[in-house]
Formats: sequence, structure tokens, C-alpha cells
Amino acid sequence: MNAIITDNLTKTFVSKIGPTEAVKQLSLLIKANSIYGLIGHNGAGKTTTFMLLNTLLEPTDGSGWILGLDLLTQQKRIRKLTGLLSENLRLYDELTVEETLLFFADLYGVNPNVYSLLERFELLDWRKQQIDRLSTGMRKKVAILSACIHQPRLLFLDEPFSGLDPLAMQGLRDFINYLLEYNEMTVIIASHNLKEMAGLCDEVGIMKEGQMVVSGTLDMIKQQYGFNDHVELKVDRLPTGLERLITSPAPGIISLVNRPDDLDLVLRTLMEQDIRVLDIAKQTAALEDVYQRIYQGVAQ
Amino acid sequence: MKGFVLLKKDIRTVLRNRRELLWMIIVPLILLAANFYLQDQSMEVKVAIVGDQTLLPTLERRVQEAEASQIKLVIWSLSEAEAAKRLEAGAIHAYLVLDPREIKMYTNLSDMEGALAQAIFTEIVRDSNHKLALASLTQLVDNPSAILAPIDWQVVEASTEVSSTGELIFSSLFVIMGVMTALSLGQQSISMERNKNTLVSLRKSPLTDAQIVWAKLGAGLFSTLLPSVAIIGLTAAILPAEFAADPNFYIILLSISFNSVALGVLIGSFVRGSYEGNGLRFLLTLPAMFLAAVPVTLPLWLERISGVVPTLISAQMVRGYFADGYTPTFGPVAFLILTGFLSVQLAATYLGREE
Repeated sequence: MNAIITDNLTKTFVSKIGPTEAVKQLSLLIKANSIYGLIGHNGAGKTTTFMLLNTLLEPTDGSGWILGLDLLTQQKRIRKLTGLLSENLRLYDELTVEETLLFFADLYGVNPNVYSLLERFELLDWRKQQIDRLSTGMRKKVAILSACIHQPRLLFLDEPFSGLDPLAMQGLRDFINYLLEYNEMTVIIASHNLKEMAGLCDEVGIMKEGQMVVSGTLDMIKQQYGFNDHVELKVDRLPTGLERLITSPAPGIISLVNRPDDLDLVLRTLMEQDIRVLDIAKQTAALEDVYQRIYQGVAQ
Repeated sequence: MKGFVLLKKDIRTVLRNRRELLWMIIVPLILLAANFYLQDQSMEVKVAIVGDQTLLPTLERRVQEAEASQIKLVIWSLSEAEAAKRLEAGAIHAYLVLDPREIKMYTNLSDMEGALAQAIFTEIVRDSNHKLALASLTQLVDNPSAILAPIDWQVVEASTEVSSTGELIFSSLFVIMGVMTALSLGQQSISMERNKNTLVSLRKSPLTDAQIVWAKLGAGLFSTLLPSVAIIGLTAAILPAEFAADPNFYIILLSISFNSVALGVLIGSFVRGSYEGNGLRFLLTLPAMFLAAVPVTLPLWLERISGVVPTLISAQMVRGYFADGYTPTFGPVAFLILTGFLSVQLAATYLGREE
């Protein structure tokens, strides 16, 4: 089942300086119960996309379905089924952790077991603390908890990793995975943190100037842009007859695309030609490489 | 009902900010006390009388009767040339020329005492410069002593009103509390949510935009009225402030607070940056404060404009109440309530305004 389907979704803002197309003909398909990452520079249209998908902005053109509900006509129902953590959400400093969660629960008219939630996310000891006394990581946890206090089926997280130390990031990753595993949620994350996104997301989409440039699994995107994972072998001499499959970036080094059949053929040939393998290393193409290529305008 | 959840949260937040709340009560009280202290200082206003000296004993007697006044009026009998010389030298603050046909008053308005002398004798001397003023000519010609009764009535009234209750001072403070603070609190209730990015969370929840702005209005009113009531209570406890027991005063307080908070909520919904908001707020409140605190007669065109600007209506109601014993009528009160409602409705439309 698909959690989100959009068809040429467009949003144009009109200001004194003229119209600005913040999102241009966005056609998106996001599978249910998965983690989807939305990547792009500031102003690429990520937040506007989130606002559109949460029915907080009306599209200028196009259509969309969120969890099977029409984006244009079933806004109230969509809002109940989705949760949104907006960028730099600062919550209410004067409220305690418990009061914050109860406030959002009351807004949605739900009655969750706040104690068990706090216990599960190691916040129970902090429940009587005011938000302004919490660390950034803890605040982020409370913010995400308040965004999904009504158990939405679709959770949008806008820049959830910003301002977090590595330990807090790990905590947040575990938290998101837990949401996915136990609550059957679909999580959409917008972030600049490409490493986190690569490690966490099932699929990613890269936006540039309001347009979705590419969307799909990481492997698919890397392949599309010619960034394949490679295997590098250090050998005592170069083999012959494998020129189609291998390159030699340095003396005594051969490199080939990490494909099982190719690797098998190369290893067998090396054995047949009595060539010794001194070292073997896997070179994984990074999401950063694709991202850089897209933003440098060298798409292939 | 969802709106009450937000209202409850906002009230809780206001009550948690005890330091801020305390300042909202303490600062006006300090200002009020400082004003009272300054008012309590005796001030001598030296006025010379030139001309018909038969009026002098009556005038002196009346001034003596007003001994309780903090403004001491010292009267001399001088020749006109001598009086002019002394005024020039600053030895006296004003002199009155009592002529059988007219009264002239010469004073220097840049001196506080000179301005006070002008204020005291304003009923008979309407021109405020060094020029000649004409007043009650026929009365003076027919019966010179009759005109003196209003003179010393003014002496007594002006001094006791200002110094014993300080109600005119309170009126400007009231405007600051009732208009400026209310506007600011109304605006901040929305701006803070926007700055913290919680407005998105609220708009994303089942709350409608109208519920959000009405809850914000309720919270703004609470934050305005709580310190106001405390200040009124404390003022009434230490001063003979009759207004504290007058229902008319509370009608004015409530209608002005409602209107100002609603305008603040509208500003908060409309503007994106706090600079814009502060500018708009000052634009609305500064003329109102001026109007409430400075007893000037407005030109007709300005009076007409002020008749449709809610903050100026508020200021005029306050000034009218404290200076002239104005009783609120249906028209202005209904106008304030109606424009308040309209502001909130408009705020709901602007809340989700696209950038």
C-alpha cells in the first residue's frame, strides 16, 4: 500500500517581487511502513512539501492522496492521521514534559498512557521538569513524542537531527526505528544530514529548486548517477583478458563494480592466472556524491 | 471545547511566568508611587497682580483657603512695568493685568510654574501665549469680584484634583496597562507560537484557526486583567481612588481590554516579524497615550479621525472618565466590542496566511 501519492503537485507563492514556484509538479509515491528521506538545500522546497502534505497549505495545482484520502477535500481526516515535527520546534518552556504531552493529547482528544511512553523513551525521571531545563536531545524526543502522541499513521519529521550530538542522534535513530516497528508508521524525514539519511531511509528523494530531481532506493539512485559500489583488489601483477570489467586506478590495484557475477569471474580468472590477492577492500559510493553531482548540475 | 485546552495551557504558561507577572504589577506601581512623590513636592507659583487692587484681598483669602494644596500660589501687587521686569528676570512666574474691560495674562510657558499658572487661570485667560487673553468681559465690567469666584474655585479644584488622588496620572497609566500592554500581550500570544514554531503544531491539530485566535484572545485578556485588577486593588488600598468601586470604570476597563487584546491578536496574526509588529503597535498606542495623558483640545478633523480609531476611542474614554467624570455610553462601548470581534475574525483569516 502507498502512504503518499502526489501527481504534479505545485505550490506558487505570490509576493511583491512576483510569483515564486516553491514546489514544481511534484509526483511522489511513498510506500506505507517505510522511512522516506527528503533531501535538498535550504529553499529546495522540502518544508513547503511537508506543509502541502499536511494540508497546512493549499496546492496551486495538482492532486494528492494521503493514506488514501484526497489532499484537496479530506483535509480534516488527513490531519488526524498525520503527525508533524516542524523544523526548530521549541515547545513551551514553561510546561513540564508531562504537561506538554498531555496538552497535545488533549488537543487530539486521545488518552495515551503517558507514563509508559515516558518510561519507554527514558524520560520518566524528567517528567516534572520544565522543557527549558532539558538537553537538546531530550527536547527533540519530547517534540517527536508530542508530534506522534495521537499515534498517526504518517509522521513527518523536518530536520530532526539538527543540533544533536552523535549519541543523541543514535537515540533518535533507535526511536524512529521503534516507531516504525511497533506502530506501523510511515516516516518521512527532511534533512541535510546525508549520512543519517543514507543509514536510516529505505528510499530517498532529492529536491532542487522546488523540483524532485530523483527519487528511489539509494542503490537505484547511485546507479542512475553512475555511482556504483566498487571492490578494490591489491594484486602482485595485473591479470589479462579482464579489461572489460576492471580498471587499474594505481599500480598493483584493480577495481571493479561490486556485482556478484563480475566478482566471481574476476576471482576465478586471478586464480587461473596464478595471481595472488594481497588485499581486498569494498568502496561504497556515498549519497553525498550523488547529492553533489545533482547540485553541481552534472546529472547524467 | 478544544479551544479551552489551548486557553488552559496559555493561562498556565502565564501563571508560570511569575517574574514577568510581578513586573507587570510592580512597574506601574513604582511609576505611580514616583508620580505621587513628585506631586507631593510643594511648588510655588508666583503671580503678580497689576491694576485693580481691590480684588487682591479676595484673591489672597481664597488662596489661603486652599492651603492644603501642594501648589502654593503667592500673589503680589505690582505695577505693570515692574511685573514685566520681574517676569523677564524669572522672579515671578506670571502676572495678571486686571483691567476694567479685560484680563491679560503674561507668563512663560517653558517654565513648569508658568504653565501651572496658565492652567490655574485658564478659565479666565484662554490664550496661552504671552499675548492678551479675553475672558468674561462683561462680567468683569459689571461685577469684578464675581469673576474671582471662578478664579479661586479653579485654584482649589486644579490643585486638589491633581495632588490628592492622582487620578489624572492614573489615567495615563491605565491607558498604558489597558491599551499598550493588552495590545502587546495579544500580539505576543500569537507571535510566540510562531517564533517557537508551535503555531504549525497547533494548526496541524484538530483546532480550527478561529479556535486558536479566540483562545489567544482569552489568554491575552487574562494576562491583561490579572495585573490590572491587582494594581487597581493596591491603588484603592492606599489612595482614595473612587473609581475602584465604580461599575462604569469596569465597563471601560473590560471593553478597552477586550478591544486592545483583539487588535493585538490581529497584529500577531498579520505580521511575520516582531519589528513590524512593534511598529504597528506603537503607531496605534502612542497617539492614544498622548491623548489620555495630555489635556489638549483636538482640532475637529483629528477628533473625527479619533472617533473611528479604536485605540483613540479607548484613550478618550479613559481621559473623559478621569478628567470629566464621563459615563460610558452604549455607542463607544459597542464600537469597541464590535471592532474587537471583527479583529479576531480577521486574525483567524490571517493566521494561515501564506508567505
